Amino acid sequence: MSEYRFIGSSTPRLEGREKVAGAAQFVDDLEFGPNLHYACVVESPHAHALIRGIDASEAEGMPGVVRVFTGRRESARRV
Amino acid sequence: MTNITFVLNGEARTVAVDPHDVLLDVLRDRLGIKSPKAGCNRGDCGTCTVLLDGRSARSCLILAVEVAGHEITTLEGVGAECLTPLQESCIALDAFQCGYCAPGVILTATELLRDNPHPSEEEVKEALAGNLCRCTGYRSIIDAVMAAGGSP
Repeated sequence: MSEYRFIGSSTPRLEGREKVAGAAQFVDDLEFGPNLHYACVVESPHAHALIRGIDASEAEGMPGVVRVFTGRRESARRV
Repeated sequence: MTNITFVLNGEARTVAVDPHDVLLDVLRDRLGIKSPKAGCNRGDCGTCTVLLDGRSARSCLILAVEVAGHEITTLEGVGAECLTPLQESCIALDAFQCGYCAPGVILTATELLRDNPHPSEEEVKEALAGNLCRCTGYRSIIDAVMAAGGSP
């Protein structure tokens, strides 16, 4: 029987060296520059309710706010 | 803003900081030292660990102004020329999967092995109790530290 190259033997991790040297780059280590935007999810304060409307005007008027996404607006855009 | 000077991985660095700036953020965002990670940002997970005058410390809980005049070592400063026996055994025994905890684990274990070159398994577990790993389940990490401890 011929010997297998990989089956039955341990294979060193390709990126093992970077990881133990502190050189591995994770998403939080990447630089996205000044165009990186941040998002946060705003949930309903009610566990069971009908959404009759969402008034985002106050949030949209705040400095630095680029856009408020709501389900109704985004589904309307796709049509 | 005030200028502080400290030794970072063997080199004197001066940086302007606010009194409320956290060391982790100053290292990562101003000095480009990315090996200390932001995991929990409250001292639980240990991945932001640095050596402060040779002792392991959580850089997310230290104000940058506090390290003025002190010496900080990050994983970038360990094995920069060639990997240490601990780093080699971490590769050989596949200690890390995603590697996010590696900077904290290796610095903490480096401190342990310096003070106690041949630790028992219990001593390794005790030393690493403050470094959380969500991938390998610790077995391979403990084995790697033990193996490095066994090598002269």
